[in-house]
Formats: sequence, C-alpha cells, structure tokens
Amino acid sequence: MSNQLNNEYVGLIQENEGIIHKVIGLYVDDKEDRKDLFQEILLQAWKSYKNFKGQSKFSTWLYKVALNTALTFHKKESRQKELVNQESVQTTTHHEQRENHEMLYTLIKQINEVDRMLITLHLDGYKNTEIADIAGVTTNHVNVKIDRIKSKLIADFKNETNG
Amino acid sequence: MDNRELDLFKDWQKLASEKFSSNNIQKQEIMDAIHKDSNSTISTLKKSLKIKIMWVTAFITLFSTWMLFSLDRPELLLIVGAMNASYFIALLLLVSQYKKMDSGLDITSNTLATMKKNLNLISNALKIEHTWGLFTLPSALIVGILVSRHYNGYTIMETFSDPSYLLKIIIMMVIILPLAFITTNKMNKSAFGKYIDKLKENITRMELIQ
Repeated sequence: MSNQLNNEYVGLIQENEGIIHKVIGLYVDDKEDRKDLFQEILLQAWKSYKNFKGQSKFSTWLYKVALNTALTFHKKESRQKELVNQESVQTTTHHEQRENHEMLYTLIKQINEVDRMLITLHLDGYKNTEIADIAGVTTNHVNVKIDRIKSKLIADFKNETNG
Repeated sequence: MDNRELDLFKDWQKLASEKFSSNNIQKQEIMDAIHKDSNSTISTLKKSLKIKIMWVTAFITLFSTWMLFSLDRPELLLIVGAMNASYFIALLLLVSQYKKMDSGLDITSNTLATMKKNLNLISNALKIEHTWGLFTLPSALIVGILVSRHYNGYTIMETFSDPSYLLKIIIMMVIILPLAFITTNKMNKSAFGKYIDKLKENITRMELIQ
C-alpha cells in the first residue's frame, strides 16, 4: 500500500515537475536556496499528499503547495545579498538585445511576490475564482488587481524597449 | 526605437516551455527529498525548541535530585524548589508550543491563511525563546547567590536584609535584565528579522486585495 502510494506520488510529481521548477525559478535565484526549496516542496507535498482526495486537479493542488512553500521559505541572509546583486545585473542588461519572453521573465521577477503569484497563475490559465481560492482573497478584487499588474507589465515593457 | 509588442500569454508560454519544462526528475531524487528533514523555518525552530526542552528536563532532574539530598535543609529546599517549579512551568509551555508547531501548519490551505499561520507560529516560538533568555539568566544568578550564601550559613531573609547583597541583586537585575532583553532580541532579529518583515509585507499586500 505504502509502495503503491510512493509510486503514485512519484508519477504525479514527474508529470507535473514543471510547476515546481516554475515556482522555484520565480521566487529564488541562489543555487543552494533553489536546491533547498525544491526538496522542501517535494517534502511538504508528500506530507500532505495522503490527505489529497482529488477535490481539485493534482496540478492545481501542487501549484498551491509549491507557492505556499515558496512564500514561507526562509532564504539565507548572505544569499539574499547575492540575489540582489544578481538581479541588479539582470536589470542593467540591454533589453533591446533580449527576446520578449526573457524580458517578461525579468519584469515578472521585479514585481512583488504577491503580484507575481497572481499574474503567474493568471498566465497559466487559472480562472480568477480559482486564483482567489488559492490565494485566499475575493474574486472581484483579483480581477482588478490582475488587470493592473498586466497594464504595468506592458507599460514597463514599452518603457524598456522604447526608452 | 523598438516597436515590439508584448503578448503576455504567448510570451509566457514560450518562457514556460524554455525555462520550466525540464522533465528529468528521477524517482530516487523524489524519494531522497521526502526522507530528508524539513528545512522550513518552523522545523528549524522546532529543533531549537526540542533542544531547550531537553535542557529544561535535565535541569529539572538535577534540581529534583538536589532537593532529594537536601530534605534536612528547608531553606535550600525552598530556593531550589522555587527554581524547579519555575522550570517545570517553562517545560509545560515549551512542550505545548512544540505540539502546536507539530500540527499547526496546513500547507494546502490558501496562501494568505498559510502565511498568517506561519507568522503566528514563528512569532510565538520566538517569544518563548525571548522569555526563556530573559528568565533563565537572572533567575540563575539570584539562585546562585542565595545558594552560595545558604552554604555559608546565611538564611534567605539575612541575605535579602543585607544591603550589600540586596544592592548586588538589584544591580544585577538592572544590568542583566536589559542586557538579556537586548541580546535575545538582537539574536532573534538577526536570524529571523528580514524573513518576518517579508512575511508581514506579503500578508499586508494580500489583505489589501481583500
């Protein structure tokens, strides 16, 4: 039974590992922190998996667990400085030479962690009701917030490419 | 001048397929991860609480043994007994907090609730650590003075009515209490300050969407 549960979990993780890489890539830059967060997401998901009864899709459930783990993850102090340095290098790169999706990545990583969560769920095709449910906020406000984040991303993109 | 347009969904798809779509995680990697110890903040604080619980238990055992061998010295029994009782209360608090931390966090609830619960558990654990630091050092010093005076033949009343010892205790309190307060505060702040600030900031941002 336990072996069956293990295999089932491993299979589901392998099918959905992109979600974990996405959350880690969006929230952590340091190599060691990435490794730690990766392990932590797998562990937290495993601990809760026994109670996963399929009320939602596994991918949605894993996305929520990964986001919750990332948003409560304690980055190491010294590594946070490295992160700042890395980000400042990224922002000073010539945007004209970079492709749209690479610039989008940089722009999304520059917005605050909560907005980052809302916009990535939105761009991954989650409905506003689902986003509100995952985040624990009201749907109406999610609509307004996401529109604002999208406008900001587009405006920032224009500034970077035209400025 | 660059007139490129950003197509959010299309560019996001491209980003996701390029950067996040690797599918090479091995079964062994997953199995290793789920058998390792958690490195979450709550787990770190839990480990630290566990060590304190072990220390307090050791002190209680030590004090109880001391009391057993001091049954003929009522004064000493009183001093050590009071210290033992306060350590016992501390033990109950630590154990109850440890249990709360064990079952407190549901990572599958919504993000706002998870962050709030996380903040709450961590703040409580740090408060206990703070109180612990504030309580143990001064009380150990006072008990140390009283016990050493007791073995020199002075009663508690005599020690407290001796202005020089009373002054010593007061000066110790005046210096050590704020020092212990500042030190424990600083230690907690340097270890968890930025993390807690970030957590609070994210909670506030999320609540503003409500």
